[in-house]
Amino acid sequence: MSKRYSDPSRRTFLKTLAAAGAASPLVGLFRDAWADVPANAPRFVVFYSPHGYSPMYWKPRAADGTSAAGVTGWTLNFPNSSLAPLEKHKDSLVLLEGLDLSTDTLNKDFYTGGHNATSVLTGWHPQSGESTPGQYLAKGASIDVYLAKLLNTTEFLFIPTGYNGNSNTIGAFRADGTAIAAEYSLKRSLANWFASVGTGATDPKAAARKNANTAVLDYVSGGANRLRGRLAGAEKAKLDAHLDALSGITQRLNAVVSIACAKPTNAPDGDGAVPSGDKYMPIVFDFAAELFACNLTRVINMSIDPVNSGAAPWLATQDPIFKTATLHNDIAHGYRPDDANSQRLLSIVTSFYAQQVSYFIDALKKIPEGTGTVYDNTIILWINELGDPARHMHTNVPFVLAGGGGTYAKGRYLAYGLGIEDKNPTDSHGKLLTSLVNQYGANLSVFGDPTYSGELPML
Amino acid sequence: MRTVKAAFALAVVLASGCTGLIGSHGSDTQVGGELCVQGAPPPTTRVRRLTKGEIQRSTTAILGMDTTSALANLDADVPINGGSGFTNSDALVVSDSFANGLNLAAETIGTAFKATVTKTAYGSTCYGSDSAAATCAETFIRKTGKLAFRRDVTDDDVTALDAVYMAGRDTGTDGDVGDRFATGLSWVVRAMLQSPDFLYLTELGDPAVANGGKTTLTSNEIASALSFSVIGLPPDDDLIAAAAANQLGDGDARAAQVDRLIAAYPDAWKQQMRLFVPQWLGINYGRPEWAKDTSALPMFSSDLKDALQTETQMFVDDWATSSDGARVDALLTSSSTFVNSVNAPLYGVSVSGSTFQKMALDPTQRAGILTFGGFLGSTSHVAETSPVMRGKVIMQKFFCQDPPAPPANVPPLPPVDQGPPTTTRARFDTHLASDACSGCHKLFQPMGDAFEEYDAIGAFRSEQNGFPIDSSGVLVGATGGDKPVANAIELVKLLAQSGQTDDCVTRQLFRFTVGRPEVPFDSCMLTETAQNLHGADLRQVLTAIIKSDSFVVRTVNIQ
Repeated sequence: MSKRYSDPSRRTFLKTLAAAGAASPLVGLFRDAWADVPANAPRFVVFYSPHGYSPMYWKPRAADGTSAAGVTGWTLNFPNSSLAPLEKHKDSLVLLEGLDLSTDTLNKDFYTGGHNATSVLTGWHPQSGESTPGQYLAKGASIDVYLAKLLNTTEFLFIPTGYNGNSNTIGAFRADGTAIAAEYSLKRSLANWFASVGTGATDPKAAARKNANTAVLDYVSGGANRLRGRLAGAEKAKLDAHLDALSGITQRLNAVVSIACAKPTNAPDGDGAVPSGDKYMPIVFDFAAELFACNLTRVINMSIDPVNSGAAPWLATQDPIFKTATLHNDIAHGYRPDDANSQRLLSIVTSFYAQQVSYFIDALKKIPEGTGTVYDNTIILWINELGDPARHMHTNVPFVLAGGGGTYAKGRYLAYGLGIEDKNPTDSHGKLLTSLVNQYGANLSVFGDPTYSGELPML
Repeated sequence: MRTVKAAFALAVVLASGCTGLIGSHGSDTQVGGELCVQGAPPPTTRVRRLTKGEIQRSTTAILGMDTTSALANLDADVPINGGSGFTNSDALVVSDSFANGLNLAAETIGTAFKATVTKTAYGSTCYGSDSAAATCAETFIRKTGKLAFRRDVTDDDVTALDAVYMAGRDTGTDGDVGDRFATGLSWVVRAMLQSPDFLYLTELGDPAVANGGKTTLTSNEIASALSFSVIGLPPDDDLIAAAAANQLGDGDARAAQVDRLIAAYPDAWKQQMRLFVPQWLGINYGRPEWAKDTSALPMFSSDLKDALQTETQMFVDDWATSSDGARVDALLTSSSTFVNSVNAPLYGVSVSGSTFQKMALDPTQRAGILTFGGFLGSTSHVAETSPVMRGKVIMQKFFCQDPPAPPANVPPLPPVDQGPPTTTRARFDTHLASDACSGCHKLFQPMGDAFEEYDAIGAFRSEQNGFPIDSSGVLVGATGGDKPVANAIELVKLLAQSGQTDDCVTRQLFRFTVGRPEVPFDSCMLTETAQNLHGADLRQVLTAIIKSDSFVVRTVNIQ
C-alpha cells in the first residue's frame, strides 16, 4: 500500500536525513550533498515559466554541437540554444525531457485543456470547485508548500506580474487543495521580510515592540480561531489560510537573522511601474538571494515570467517580432513542431528564462555557507506547464534541476519517453516530485496521485 | 414564459467540450430539471472578507482620518475569476500577502492615529495616571470597537484588547502617561484593523441553530450586508437603529433602506456602480493590454488612457443617477458620452480644454458603453483588436456563459499563410476555418467580428491595411435563433432589447451584490426579477435581491 503523507514533522526529517547520510550508497558521480548540512539548509526553489518548449533547441547536443547528446558530456552551446545561458552551470544541472504531467486529460469529472499549472507542483489532476466553474482546485499540497512545512520555514511566493487584472496564483496549493496567492510587490516584501534586519544600533524599545506585536497577533489569531469554530468546509479553509498567514508573520517576528546579509536596497512596488522585464528580474533575484543569505526562508516559489501576456520588446534584438508579439498568444501559439522558425522564436523566449535562472545561480554561488556556498545546499526545480504550447500538450514537459543539493548525480541529460501520445506512467512527472521530496527526507512512496507512485527512474 | 437558463447550460457546454453537441450557447435545451428550482436549500453560512476599497472606506469612517495612502500597498481589488466574477467576492481570503500588507498598513494608520490622541480630545483625566488612562482606553475600545466590528463590543472583546493596550503602551516613552496612553491606543487600532471581526462580513445567523438547520442572519449581519451591498460603506446610524429595533428581517423594510441609502449617499451609490458596470463588462484599465503599441496606434497615449478612464466613470455616474433610473437599455444604446480635448479626437469630435462635457456622438458609429474606448481597448491586444476576446466577453457578460478552455492535445492547426494578413479579421478567421477550433470559436467569435469597425483603442475605422473592414457578425444563440448583424450598433441594440440580457444582467448584479455565484435556491427570485426588468432600472433588481430570502436565509454549516 502506498504511503501517503500527512503532516511531516521536523523530527521525522532529521531522523530520515541522518539515515540517508549514514546509508549513502553513492559512488562515482553520486555524492551525499546533505552530509554536512548547515543549520539553515537544505533549501528548495521552484521557478515557473510558461509557454512550453522548443525540443529542437532545448535538447542538449554532443560536444560537437550537432550530434545527439548522451547522458553526460553534452553542451548547451550551439546556435539558437534555449539553455545556452546555463552552459557555465551545466555540471550542477540535470535536464529531464519526455516526462508527462501526472494528470488525466481524459478525466470526465473535470475537463481541463488549459495550461494546467495546477498539476505541475501537486502531482494531481485538477479538481473543480463546486461553485466556482473555471477555478482550478488541487487535490493536495504542492511540493513547495509540503517542503516548507517539512523544513519548518515560511515560504516566499512571488509572481512578478502580480495583479494586472489577473489572479496572482502561482501553482502553490495548501494540503486542502486551495490555491495560495503569491506576493507581487518587492516594496512590500522588503517591509515584511526584512523588518528584523536592522542597522545594528541598539533599540531600547525593541523588546517592548516585539511584545506588543505578539499581543496583536495573539489577539487576531484568537478572533480567527473563534470564527473558524462556527464554519465548515471551504469557509473554514478561509480561516485556516488566515491563521497560516498570521503564523508566517509570527515566525518572521521571531526569526533569528543572519548578520552576514544585507537588506535589499532596490525593491520596486508591484502596484506601480516596474522596470522592463529584463531589468526587473535581476532585482527580483537579488532580493530572493538575500532572503536565503539572511536565513529568512528556505523555500522559494517564483514565477520568472515578467510579462504575463504582454510583449517582451527587449528580445527584439534577436527578432523584431518581439517588439509587439505577446509571448503567450503569438509566440507560443505560433509554435509548430515541424517549423524550425517557430521553434527558434520559442527558443528565444526560453533562453531569456534560462538567462534569469543562470543569474540566480550566480547570486547563490556568491553567498558563502559552510565550506562552500548556498548553491551547494539548494535544489532548484525549473518547471513549465506545457510541452507543445500551441496544442496545450501535457506530455513531454521539460524540467530542469539545478543546484548542488540532493544526492542524485548532476551534469546529466535524462531522456524519457518522447512519443507525443506516450502516456506511459513510468514517465510521469509525479515520480520526479516524489524523488525530490525524498531528497529532503520525506520517505514517501508517492507524492500526488498514487497512480504514478514510485521515484523517478534514472534520476 | 421565458426561461432562465444561463447558469445551468454552462455545465453542458463544458462537458461537451464544444464538440458539436451544442449548436449555440443560447440553446433552449433545459438542463438539470426546472429552471426555477422550488424547495432547494438556502446557501450555507459563510463569511466574506472586505475588499481593499471597503477597508479603506470603513477605516476612514471609523477613525475619521483618510487612510488611502496608508492602505495603498494592500493587495489590489481584482475581479475574482471563478468566484462571483467581481471584486467583492466571498472567495476573498486573507492570504500571506494580504495579511502582511494589512499588518504594515495598520502600523502606519496606528502611528498616524496616535497623533490625533490629545488631551483636548480625550480629556485631562486620561492623562492623570496610567490607571486612569487604562479606564479611558476601555471607553475607547467600546466606542471604536462598535464601529469597527459593526456590533456591540462584548466584555471578552474588551479583555482581549486591554491586553493589547497594556503591551502597546509599554512601547511609549517611559514615565510619560500621555505618550503611553496615545501609544497604547494606537496599538489597539492596529489590532482592531486586523481583527476578523472587522475584516469579515459574517452570515452566520443564530448560533443556537444546529448544523443543517435554517437560520436568518442577525440584525447586525443584515445591516452590514445591506449597507456594503448598496453603498460599499459600513451601516449608518439609521441602519444601526433599524437593526437594534429588529426591523431588518422584513423584506419591505430592507427595500425601503435600499431606496434611502441610494438617495442619502449618491456619491457612494455612484462609486458602487463604478465598480459594478466596468467589472461586469470587462472594462479594466489595469490590464496589460492597455500598454498599447503607439507605432500601431499613434493616437494612443497614457493621457488618452486616463481620459478614457475618466470618461467611463463620468458616463457611469451620469447613468446611475439618471432621472429615468439606471436603465440597462440606456447603458447599452446611449450615443452621448463625456469628452475633453484628449479623448474627443478618438470619437471624431473636437473639444477644447481639459474639462469633460457631455456630448452626443454620431449614432451610426456609437451606441452605448460597448462602443466606447474603455470597452473596446480592454478587449483588444496591445496593437490590434481581438474578435476572440470581444466575442467571449459578449458571451460571458450577456449570456452568462463561459467557453471552455482550449482543449488539451488538439491536432495542429494548418500552416499559417506566409504572406502578411490582410485584416485582423482575416487572420482570426483561421479559427473558424479549422475543424479543431470552430466548434468553440463559432459560439462567440462572430459576435466579436461585429466590433471590427473599432480599432484596439476604439477609434472608428472603415479599412485596415488598405482593405475594407468587414463588420458583419452574428448574435449567436439569440432567442429564436442566431441573428445576423451588419455591425456592433445592430448587435448592441439587439442585446439591449433581449430578454437574455435581462436574465444575465440580473445574475451579474446578484453576484456583485451578494458576492457569490447564484445557486438553485436563488433561481426563482432571479427568474421573476429578470422577467420584470425589460431593459429597465437596475435599482429594481437590487431591491428585489435585498428583499429576498436569498439575502438573509442560510443553512447552518458547522461540520
